[in-house]
Amino acid sequence: MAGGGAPTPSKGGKKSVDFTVNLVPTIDLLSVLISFLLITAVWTQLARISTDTAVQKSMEKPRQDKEKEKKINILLGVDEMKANLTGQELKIIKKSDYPDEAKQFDELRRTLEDFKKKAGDTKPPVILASEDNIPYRNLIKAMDLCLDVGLTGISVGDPEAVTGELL
Amino acid sequence: MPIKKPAKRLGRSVKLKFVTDMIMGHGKLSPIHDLNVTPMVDMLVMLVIFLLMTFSATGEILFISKDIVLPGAFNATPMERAPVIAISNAAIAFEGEMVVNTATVNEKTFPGGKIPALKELLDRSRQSWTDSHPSGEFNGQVIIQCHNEVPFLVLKMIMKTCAEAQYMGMNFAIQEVSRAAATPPAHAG
Repeated sequence: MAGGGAPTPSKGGKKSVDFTVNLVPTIDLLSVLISFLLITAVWTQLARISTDTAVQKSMEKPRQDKEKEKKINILLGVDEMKANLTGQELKIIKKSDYPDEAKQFDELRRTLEDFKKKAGDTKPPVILASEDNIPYRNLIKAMDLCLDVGLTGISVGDPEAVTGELL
Repeated sequence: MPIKKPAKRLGRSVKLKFVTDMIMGHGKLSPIHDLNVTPMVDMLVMLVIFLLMTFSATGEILFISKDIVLPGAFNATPMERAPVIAISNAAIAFEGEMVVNTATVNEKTFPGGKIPALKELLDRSRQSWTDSHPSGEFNGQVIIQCHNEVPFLVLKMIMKTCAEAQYMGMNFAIQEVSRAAATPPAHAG
């Protein structure tokens, strides 16, 4: 038998119509595949959020260019979050009004959606900064929100420069 | 009802000899038994499908230290190979090489917000890349693998150092989670 299969033995010299498929090579192949896939499996789902560094760019760009460009500035603070779209009113999300962090980010999402609507067809770039003691997870949460709303051009900027833009 | 001696009684009503023989135990039992492998093959196929679905062709780009807990996010892109800066509450490492203690990173210790030891390593990495790719354009991508509780001050100084060393593309490593776990629900209306 060459590994293919064998007809079921029959009685009386008549050839049986039943045919047994040899499953051993299939099992061998599947076992090898499983071993390989188990060895090469990556169990932790890691990914990335890509941004630019806006710190040096903002210093290099002349003032005139900055005035023409519409962008969204976000500053994450301990007591409040500030955000604005160039030429629009500053939105302040105070922690005292939203004690729950999730609610605070929900309000930020609403603000960003509103800015996106106001910006029209153009997707304004986002400059994100935070106060020195804000944990990294909040920065990622804000970036994730921006991407969720559809704002893809995210840069992480210097808090001082962003504060200057917010004024 | 009379009491009868215990014995095998089932199957006597069947008028086929080979059936009676089999039931009553008079038939010859074959020493060769076929094992039904169909459920086993089914299970193996299921396993292969599951493993193929979870298979990642990029492999493991980051080595996750137990000191670093990555934040979760939903909107993310797959990882690509780039130099890795790992930031934990204890230390900052570049490509697995310890650079500086995180606790010492502040404006007083490093005036100007740049970390010289890290800049030196980044410069060396950029130089080795340009040496090995003489005709290629340097993309300046770096992966930042940061613990979720590290303050922004540390991150800011690292980013400034990276920018100084011409690494302008920051890729923040995150743990992919579901939309519900990552962000607050979308605004209705």
